[in-house]
Amino acid sequence: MTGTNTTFFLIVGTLTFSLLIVFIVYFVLLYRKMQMSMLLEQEKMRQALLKAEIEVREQTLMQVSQELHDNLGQLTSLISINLKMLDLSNCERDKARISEIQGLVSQLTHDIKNLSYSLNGERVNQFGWSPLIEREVERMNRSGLVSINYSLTPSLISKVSTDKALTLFRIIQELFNNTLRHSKATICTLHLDEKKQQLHLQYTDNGQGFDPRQVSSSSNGHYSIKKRCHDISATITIDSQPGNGILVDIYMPLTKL
Amino acid sequence: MTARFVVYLGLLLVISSAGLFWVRQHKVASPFSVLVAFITLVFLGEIIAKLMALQYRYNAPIYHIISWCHVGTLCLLYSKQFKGSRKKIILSLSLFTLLCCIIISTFWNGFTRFPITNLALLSILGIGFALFHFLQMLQHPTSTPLLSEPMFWINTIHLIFFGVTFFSWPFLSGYFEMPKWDVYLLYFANILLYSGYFRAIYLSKTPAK
Repeated sequence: MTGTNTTFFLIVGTLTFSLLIVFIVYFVLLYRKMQMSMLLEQEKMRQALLKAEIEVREQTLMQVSQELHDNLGQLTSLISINLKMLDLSNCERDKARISEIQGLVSQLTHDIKNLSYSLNGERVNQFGWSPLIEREVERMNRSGLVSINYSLTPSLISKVSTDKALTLFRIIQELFNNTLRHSKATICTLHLDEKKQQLHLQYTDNGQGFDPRQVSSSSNGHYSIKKRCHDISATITIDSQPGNGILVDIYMPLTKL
Repeated sequence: MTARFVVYLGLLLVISSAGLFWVRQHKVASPFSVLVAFITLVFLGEIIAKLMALQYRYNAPIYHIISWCHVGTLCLLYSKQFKGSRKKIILSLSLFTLLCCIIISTFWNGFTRFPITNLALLSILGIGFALFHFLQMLQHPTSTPLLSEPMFWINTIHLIFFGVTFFSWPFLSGYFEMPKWDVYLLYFANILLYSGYFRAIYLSKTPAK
């Protein structure tokens, strides 16, 4: 074999391998680009699905709210009117009992209306989210079971989109419900402020607390809160110890969904 | 026996032992267990070839069989990566190449000479399949990082190994005297091929629970 032939094969081989390396590098870059666009598409689909899920959930709650208001609310009002129309002049014995029933029905009507109000997410669009939270805080304070210390940074009000506000409102409702149902707390604090382009929600109570290791991650209240946080791309940390109440920190991005 | 050959055999032994161990534990996905079988066969083939060389002064028949098995391995490996008409293309091309290799070995090349034409055909098939699979990867990307994709490693290694083999054809065919650098190039291409297979087998392993 001559030196010219060896050189020829060496040049052809080197050129081919240079092309091969360029091809592999180009493939890697192109693949990464395709991968990014696919992941972006998947993320968009996930967001659309979540939005649809939230819409369906809110629609169901609105139907329940309307049913409570239109049917059960009307029925209790009717019972109340009928009770008032009873002639109790000849029935001194039952007067006190019927008066107590009237009080209970009146309370029931009031509670149904309140529940109907808080279930209806449309109110967020109508009145904005901060009055709704204030109303929920008032409702809790009126119950006499717990006293809530609430504060909100006013600049936040215009920075939270309606979709996120509704979910945030549901999270706060769930926190209040958990406190009422399980914690036996007497004092709670709820602070909403802005930190580094994020909404920071801090919730504490002085209840009996719990051991986080013994509370299943799928336990209904916590699962619901965590899922809702995930829906609005928020991060949540729940800190609690038996006898030491609870501390919940939620950070929700304000600029992007 | 040269140190190069010992290193090569040692590498094959380590890869086939680890592969067989993982296959026995049902950790290796089925397309990649074909690679384990092929590497084990190459290891045994190289030992028999060495013994034959010592005893009979020729060992070409072993390399004919290995080249047929390599076509079969490529067929099984790539046919499981495709579906529908693309799978049919892989199967038909593999079958055609295998038939060509058997006919060439039997009637043209002869079993006493090194299967150079088979290697050229195998190289064309390997490069074609690698490019075809790269195309499929671009059309259907996954969320797995590219360097964790076993098939990315296999395709890349095939392009390099079969590229070297194909361009060594004029030397292997005996038309030209084989330069020393090409012997080393082929040796390192082989080491790279089996190391790449090992990487792919390792990546295809299901993680321990």
